[in-house]
Amino acid sequence: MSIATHRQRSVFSKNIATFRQDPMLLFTLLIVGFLLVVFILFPLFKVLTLSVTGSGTFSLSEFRYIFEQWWLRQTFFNSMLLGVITATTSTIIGYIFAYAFARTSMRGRWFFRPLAMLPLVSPPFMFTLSVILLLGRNGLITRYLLGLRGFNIYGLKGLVLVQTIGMFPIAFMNLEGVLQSIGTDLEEAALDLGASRLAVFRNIVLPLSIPGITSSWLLIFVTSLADFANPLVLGGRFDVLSVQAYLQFTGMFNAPRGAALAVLLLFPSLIAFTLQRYLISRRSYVTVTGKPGHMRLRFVSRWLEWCLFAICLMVTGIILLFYLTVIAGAFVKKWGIDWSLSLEHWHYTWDVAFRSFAQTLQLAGIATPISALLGMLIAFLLVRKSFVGKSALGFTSMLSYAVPGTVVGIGYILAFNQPPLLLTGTGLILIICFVFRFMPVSVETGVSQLVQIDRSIEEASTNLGASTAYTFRSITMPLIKPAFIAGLSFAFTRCMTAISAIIFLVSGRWHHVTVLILSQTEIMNLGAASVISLVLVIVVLTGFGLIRLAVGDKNRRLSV
Amino acid sequence: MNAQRVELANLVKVFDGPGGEKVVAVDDLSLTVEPGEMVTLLGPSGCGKTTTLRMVAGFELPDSGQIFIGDQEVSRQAPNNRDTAMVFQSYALFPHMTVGENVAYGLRFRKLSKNQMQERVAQVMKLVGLEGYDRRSPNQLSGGQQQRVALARALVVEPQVLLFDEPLSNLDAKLREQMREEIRRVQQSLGITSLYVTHDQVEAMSLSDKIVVMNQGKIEQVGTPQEIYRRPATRFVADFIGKVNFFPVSRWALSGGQMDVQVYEHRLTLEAPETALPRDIVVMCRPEAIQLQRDAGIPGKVRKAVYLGSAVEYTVEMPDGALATVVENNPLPGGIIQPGEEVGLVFDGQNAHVLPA
Ligand SMILES: Nc1ncnc2c1ncn2[C@@H]1O[C@H](COP(=O)(O)OP(=O)(O)OP(=O)(O)O)[C@@H](O)[C@H]1O
Ligand SMILES: [Mg+2]
Repeated sequence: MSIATHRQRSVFSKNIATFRQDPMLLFTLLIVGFLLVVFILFPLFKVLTLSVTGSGTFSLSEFRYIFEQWWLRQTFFNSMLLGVITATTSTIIGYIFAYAFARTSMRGRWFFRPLAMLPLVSPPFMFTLSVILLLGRNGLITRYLLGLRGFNIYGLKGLVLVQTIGMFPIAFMNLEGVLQSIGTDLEEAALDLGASRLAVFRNIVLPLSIPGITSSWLLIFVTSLADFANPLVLGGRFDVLSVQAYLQFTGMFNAPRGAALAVLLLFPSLIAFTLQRYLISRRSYVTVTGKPGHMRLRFVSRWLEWCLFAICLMVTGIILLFYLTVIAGAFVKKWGIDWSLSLEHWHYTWDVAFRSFAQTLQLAGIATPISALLGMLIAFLLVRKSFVGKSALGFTSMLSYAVPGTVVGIGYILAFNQPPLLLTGTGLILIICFVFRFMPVSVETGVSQLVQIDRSIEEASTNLGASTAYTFRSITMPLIKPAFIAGLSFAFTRCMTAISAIIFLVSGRWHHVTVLILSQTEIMNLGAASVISLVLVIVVLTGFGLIRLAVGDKNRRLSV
Repeated sequence: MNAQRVELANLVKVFDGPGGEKVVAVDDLSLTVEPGEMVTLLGPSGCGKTTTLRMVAGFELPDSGQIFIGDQEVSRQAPNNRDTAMVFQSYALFPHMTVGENVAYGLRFRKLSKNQMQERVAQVMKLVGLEGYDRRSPNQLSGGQQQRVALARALVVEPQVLLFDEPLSNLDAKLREQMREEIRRVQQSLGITSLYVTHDQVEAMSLSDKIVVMNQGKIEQVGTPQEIYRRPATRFVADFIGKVNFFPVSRWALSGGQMDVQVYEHRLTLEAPETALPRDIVVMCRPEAIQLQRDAGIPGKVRKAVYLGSAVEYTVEMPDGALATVVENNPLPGGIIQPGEEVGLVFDGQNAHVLPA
């Protein structure tokens, strides 16, 4: 007992000593901590409290009601079902891609990779748009090529299709890294001892990729749960939590019920996410032995390689088809009725969407660098400094990953609609939402980059008389530039394509272009929706180029 | 166990370099490893040792040439159908299996009962000194222990050929020496035909029945450690193995089994080599085979004397300005010659050897 308190005291006094030595650190920590509490934890707290105090006093009546009404109860099970199916199909396809890329000499990578990555930068329900154009009631394939009348793509099967296409790249990226980190010498060793190719896969490759597979699955499960726009448009009678929470909260003005549904959405996500973090944090044994070598040996037969090729071709073919459909949709006069080409939608879009685009860019332009910089700063603190509450800081900064946008949107409305933080209706609330929601990727890439850079480089700088702040600016930042670029790119994409939280926060004064796509789709103005989606993709890709140019140039000057 | 002969005939392997150019990694290599022999491939980095070994294992297919294990040609066989087992430089232990599972892995593909499997694993674990480690994870072992597991895993399948690719390079000096002896002991006690790749000459010397010195994809010389050290066939081999002096020969003549050579105005009588010599030759002599005397031998001037404890290493300037190295073992205190002094280099004809220049 006395030893414990003694140790506590010495940790505490050591902290005091650190802070005294480096007052800037204390100051930074206080500010960062305050921001995270106010803009990440406080809104969540508001959602939680409202869900259990809707009737004035503490009660779980909302939750009871939700589970008594079968149509509300069903939303919960629908969300889970969709999440499980999408996570499973996406992970399988992602693994197939990853395996084909990391372990075979499959041809056509130059074609497959960019196409497979395209969904990551696409507006959230661009594929839903394509699916409606191709397979909907007036769908090109269903109605005109096959002549089907009763076919209905709305509901679970349509959602699984669009979510799988949209989310398998997450698994692909993750699992390719996992497979690359499994040394090919392990496979060679197994083969050398007499294992057949199939046995090598079953005994070595598959078991070693299980942690990666599980982690991808959980990540996609969370992403699928959080998806809002696809189910809203393509769900039909298949109701999910994110959509129902939104409808209850804004449409029915039943804030407590909306909050309760949001809480039901939040918990599975948090559990899945925490599990995923745990899996990642447990030092995966993949890195312990085996050297990642060049693939020199054929681990798959020619026949299997062809199968993998065919699957990759099919999936990327669908992506390509979806894109071409949207392009066609943008130029066809009236889909399903008048197939002649026209620029009508472009004129119309220019009129309705110009202001939205300008505002979206403005907001994203402000939020992106702040988000990435804050992420780098937190990464720096997490890796390089020691202080009390470090793991809490780490967890909170990653939390936004796990919190579905719908929950954040409701939380922000509840938290910031009264003084002293009256922000609803302003552009600032959108910027703040962007900054804190899209920061985790910066933190994560920043951390993984920083742990690879020997801290003695920074120590050399402080040793020569530089302050912590100056060291961060002049030494650390240039070294973690790749992470910074990744953080910027991710934040920018998501700022431009976000919708689930944003839809609660837009106002007459400040608009967002994805909300516009949604409203155009809802009134079945699919031509205009196609045009805006296309322009958005182009803007995002241009933004990537500009980010690389801007950050790269600065560094070149530095290195001279 | 019936040991098999391994024969490599005219092996060629060409890779595509990064710039699209052709890299000839192995160039018309022929070699026979007798049953039960331990043969080391020794050579500088990039000379094609690993590639040769991987062709024997079946990880690379030769562009031309043949590989025989016993009477069977295996050149095109898949690695899992060849009766070879490799000990990898990185150990390549399966991280998700215990030590016991790692060692037993190869037995899964051989028709054995559970009892037989356990017995074989226990035997091999004992042989490499890892009894009681079955249930550990490879991560919980030291480098030397991991090395033993890798060895055990290869031995347990009783392969016809055992292959080693620089298995000791991840160990520290002391452990390396210990494992070297261990490998040699096990290999000899089981009598498995083995091919061992290294670029460490001490390792090669101490381990091998025969050393194959390679350079740029070709074999420079095959011989016992003694032959390689004392009678190197080329300047490259002499230079690669240990320290060596080359003295210029101004005139030479054969007389019977002997030859007379003139080195710096001094006449030496050496044993004549069996092969024909070109016109320009040099005499090679190891630094420790030379004595420094006051008034005999080839004259030189000491430039540097470095005291190494067990020896003194002298750098001596020869009449033509070239520098020679002389090592005197077990130097007497006060007996060290100081820089600037004139000395004479004396060596026995038995310790010198002529080579093409
Ligand atoms: N897969 C490959 N693709 C292209 N070139 C290769 C490949 N493998 C080996 N090489 C080249 O072939 C040559 C011989 O390589 P090898 O690995 O056999 O050398 P080594 O003697 O084992 O060298 P080290 O002592 O460095 O291990 C080198 O020039 C190497 O760059
Ligand atoms: Mg090698």
